[in-house]
Amino acid sequence: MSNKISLCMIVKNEQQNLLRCLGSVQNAVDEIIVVDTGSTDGTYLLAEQAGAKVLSFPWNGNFSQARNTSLACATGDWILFLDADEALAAGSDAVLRRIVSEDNEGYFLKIINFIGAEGCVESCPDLVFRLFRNKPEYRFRGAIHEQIVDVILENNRQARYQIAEDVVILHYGYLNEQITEKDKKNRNINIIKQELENAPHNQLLRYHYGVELFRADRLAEAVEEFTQAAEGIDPNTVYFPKLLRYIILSYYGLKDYDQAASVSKQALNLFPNYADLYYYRGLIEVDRKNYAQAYELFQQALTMPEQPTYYASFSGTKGFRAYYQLGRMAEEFYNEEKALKYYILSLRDNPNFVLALSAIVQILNPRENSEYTKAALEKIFEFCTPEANILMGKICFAEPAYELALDYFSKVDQTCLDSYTAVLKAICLIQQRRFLEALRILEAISPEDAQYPLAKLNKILCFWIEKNRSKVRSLTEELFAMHLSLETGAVVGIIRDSLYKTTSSPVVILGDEGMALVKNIMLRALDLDECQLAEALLDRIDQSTLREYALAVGKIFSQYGYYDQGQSYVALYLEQQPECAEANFQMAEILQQKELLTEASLYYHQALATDPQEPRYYVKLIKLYKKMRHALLSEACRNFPNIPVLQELLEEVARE
Amino acid sequence: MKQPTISLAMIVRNEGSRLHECLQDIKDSIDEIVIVDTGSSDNTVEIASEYTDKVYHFTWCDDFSAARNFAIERVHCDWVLSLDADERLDMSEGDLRALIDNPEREAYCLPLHAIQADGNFDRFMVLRLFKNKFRFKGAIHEQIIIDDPTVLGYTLFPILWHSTVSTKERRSRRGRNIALLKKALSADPDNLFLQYYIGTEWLGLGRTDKAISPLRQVLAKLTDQHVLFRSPALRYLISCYKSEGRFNEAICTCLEESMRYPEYSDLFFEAGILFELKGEYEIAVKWFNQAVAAGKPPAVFHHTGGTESYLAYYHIGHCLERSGMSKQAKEFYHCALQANKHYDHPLYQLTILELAQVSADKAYIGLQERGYLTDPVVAARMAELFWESGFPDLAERCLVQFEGKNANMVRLLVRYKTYSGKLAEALKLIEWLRTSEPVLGLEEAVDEIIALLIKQDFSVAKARALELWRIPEARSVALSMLNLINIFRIGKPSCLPELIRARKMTQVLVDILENCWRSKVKDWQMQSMYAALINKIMELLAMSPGTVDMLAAYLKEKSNAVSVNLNHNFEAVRGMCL
Repeated sequence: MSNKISLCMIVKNEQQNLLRCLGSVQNAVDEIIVVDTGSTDGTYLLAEQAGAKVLSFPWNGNFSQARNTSLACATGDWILFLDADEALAAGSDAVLRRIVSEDNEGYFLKIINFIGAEGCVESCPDLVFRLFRNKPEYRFRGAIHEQIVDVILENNRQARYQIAEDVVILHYGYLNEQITEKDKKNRNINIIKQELENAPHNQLLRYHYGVELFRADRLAEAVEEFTQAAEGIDPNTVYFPKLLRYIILSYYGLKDYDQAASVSKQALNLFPNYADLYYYRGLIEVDRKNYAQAYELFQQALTMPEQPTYYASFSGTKGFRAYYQLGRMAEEFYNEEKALKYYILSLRDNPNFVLALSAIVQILNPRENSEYTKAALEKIFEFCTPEANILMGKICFAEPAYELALDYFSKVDQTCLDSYTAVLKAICLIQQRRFLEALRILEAISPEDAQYPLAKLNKILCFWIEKNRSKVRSLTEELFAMHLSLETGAVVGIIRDSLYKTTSSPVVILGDEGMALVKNIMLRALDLDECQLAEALLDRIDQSTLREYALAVGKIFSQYGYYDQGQSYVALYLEQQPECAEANFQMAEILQQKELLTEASLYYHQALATDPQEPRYYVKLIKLYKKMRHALLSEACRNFPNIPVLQELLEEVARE
Repeated sequence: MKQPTISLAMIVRNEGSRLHECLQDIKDSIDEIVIVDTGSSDNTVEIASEYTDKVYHFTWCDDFSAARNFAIERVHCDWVLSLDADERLDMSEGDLRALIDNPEREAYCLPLHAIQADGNFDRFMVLRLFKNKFRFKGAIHEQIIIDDPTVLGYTLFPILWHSTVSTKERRSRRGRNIALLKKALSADPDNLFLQYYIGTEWLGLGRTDKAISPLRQVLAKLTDQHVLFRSPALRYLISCYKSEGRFNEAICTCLEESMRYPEYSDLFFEAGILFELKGEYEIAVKWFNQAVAAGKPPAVFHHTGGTESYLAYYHIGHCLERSGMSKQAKEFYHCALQANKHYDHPLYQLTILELAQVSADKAYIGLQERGYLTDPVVAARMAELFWESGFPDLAERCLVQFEGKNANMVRLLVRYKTYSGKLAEALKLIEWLRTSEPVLGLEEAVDEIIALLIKQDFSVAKARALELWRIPEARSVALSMLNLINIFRIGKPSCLPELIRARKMTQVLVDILENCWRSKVKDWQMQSMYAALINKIMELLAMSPGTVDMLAAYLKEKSNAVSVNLNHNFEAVRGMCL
């Protein structure tokens, strides 16, 4: 029996993806049918040149009709159905050829969905029905692909389906660069909604409707649809686990933790080996601060076996993600050793998991321990490629650890850096007072580049740090001409004014946007030991704004060791918000740095009294008491050297 | 037909302190009083004679029935009311005459309310009102035995209140009873009532191990006809199993018996408690709910008030809280409070929850708005809770309404004001206390000196400390305070360091430290005064090796307390905590 395979597709404006798709099926199919529903780019021509049979089909809002047109033209014995943003993985062609010789009516193939953005791409496997015998009665119905499964069964009660997981389809459609415009999403949603009105009992349709709503972030509506779709559903339905997971994720997104937890519990009864359920329940419990439960759940997730493909398990839920969450929890308890252990386990499971890498870097504290961090990282990883070095540079930059970041950026050839990374490098140079080199880079950014304003601002900062009033003045004039937002403009203004000793300048009121910029600039000034500049900048800001952001400002001062300023700002904040646990905690931290241990302890107690749900407060207070005992006993041992019991007590404390 | 008459028949021994009260209440409701003294050495007989001339003497022969029947023989009325001197009949509700006027009845069980230490009461039905034809049987725990159950009536009023006896007296009574019971049992080994009493006496002595066997026998062999005995025996058996840690047997008993008595709320409640103790909160809640559904059991059952309402609600709340469902827990705490405003455990839990989850201010406002702070006992408890949680300002607000009225409240206010920076007000209250009390208590004397110290009013502080020194019991405290004052003034203590060894002197300083750590002042300057006080005290304590280790131990204790809270709140996330 002949087993000719026809690839059928419907496309519109897919010239970016089409070649990748068509290239991947070269040896897998015998015929390619492409139905173009109205491309305005080179899709039609491209398809023709690739050897496909191309038909034009004016779009009339009806998916099925368009698809069925492609089926009607197929002359093969089997139909393989793909979208333009998909491609067949290497090695699948052989499997494909083999399975079409078997006595089945259709196949579920494995699909791997790539999700995310550059540097942070995740994969999620699933099963999709894409291969079936070419018979005239097998035609698509409705807006959803999958409905053909029912159509075939209706026409052929003996129809047998199999799963062929070795045929792998790679789906690039969810990658951020390729996310379709909101309009297209909403258009799809409306189409399905219409269909659902005509077929209200179609659970499969309702499920897909829910999925579209979920993707459009319309979570409350999604939950309703999912819940309805789940009513009376046969627990063996292939999309049931996914459906349950969507419900949980929707409630989680809506912050309805009670519901999310309750659905998770029920779901676990049905699918006790579904790793995602443990993982998401873990996340819920972390948000509710039930750390003990969360810990158990993540540990359970880690023990889960290989997940069946139809669970569509999100990558890492039984591996690197769970480890990462455990690391985060250990950090909540200031247990850095444990945290590092978990983060390293996470990276071992997925060496591309940037979050774990950033977390490790953060613990190593590259800003204060540049050499140590570099050496430690070198022990664990090798950063050979330019991409790896840029990534590390950016991670260090985020700390901010400018010196180490510069180290990594410098390992990459200048021409490999895009304009944004180049600006980052320039900033690092500024922080090393290498102004000329920085300016060279900044000047190379062209005015059409999106980074131009940022580059300009940093040029100003070069001269600001050098206290070059005239240069700052002229450059800020130029920057103003570039249509900045109100707040950014105001900040640029105070940068200029801060170089002048004036008492009657109007004081500026800022909001989140402006203050974010101010905080960043003041931080950079402090990093350069230019405390005076930072304070001059703040002097230009209205008291009411300063009071609102006093806590954040105080934190930055103390981060860079300016404890007196830090203390006065936090005190300012506490004046109006005496019940703010975090402020009390920050005050305690500052006082401890100033060796005012008793005062610090009082503030830790206050923080605890106000918010008993923060593990950090407890841990820090326990550490402080230990420090106090140690100090007390050391002094006592010095004053009374002949009393052995004191020595014992001191040793006991040291051992703890 | 002529109206039936009632006579009070009592046997007494050394009840001089209580007899007046007992007889005074009852004398107008009865026609005759017969009192039999079995050997008083106090003024019992004299007091009895004030109320009746029918006072007789009976030589004690270890047989209660003999003594009581002796009294009944001397009764001339149709009915007998049998009371003990430590019982009081509450005549405000209920009508004895109406009861005995009923031709169908020949005897009545009245409710005996035995008040427990926590204010709750247990209710027993006791046969105390009967026609003069009946007599007591049994040397110990004597009973009126009635053959025809239809002539026995039950009434809920009037209530018989039984006052508590001193523990010592109770224990000696029990010892005596056990001896008597053993004697009686050897003569009559199959007597289930004797078994019952032996069981209860052992239970009373805390020997739950010895109580189990007799109680089990009673339960196995007694029928429902004697549910008056069976139900308390059942409760006691469950309680014994619980004390012995034999939870599963207790649960089995509850399960079986609850099928027999589906209306007995106490059984469901007890089962709930057992599951709660085992940590099986979901099941516990189911049982508590059934207790509520069952409602108050018929009068004949031995019932602890509240097991069908506020106690059940409170425990449901507690179970829900332990299961992490604090929102629902709060609702049940509110139910409990609604059912009984005076049982304030749920209020305590609610406030703790509010403190942990919402904010202390909101917790306080909630209490205020719902009127819980009008009751001084509740207000004091809530104030203490706020104080211990680090909110002296809110503690103060709880009690502010009692200023100038209640010395005990004022004492507490002095403390709260002293440690929330309201020094002048605290000193004013001390003055008020001086005028209304003959002697200032030690605690407030210390608070006064501390307030003066923080105000830096050293000379007055010293004067007060010297006044305190004059009182012999307060000398060590005064010495400590003088040392402290001098550390502030001149940088060194007044006493030689060795003398600081005295534990009492150190303890008062450690107590002050504890209070300082609870202080809360908005003003940074003021807050640092308390920090300075802490530092000075620590400096003082560090001056002598004998006290350094006490201070180190105290700091360790404080650290442990924080650890315990950390573990409690986050259930010792395994390996995460240091």
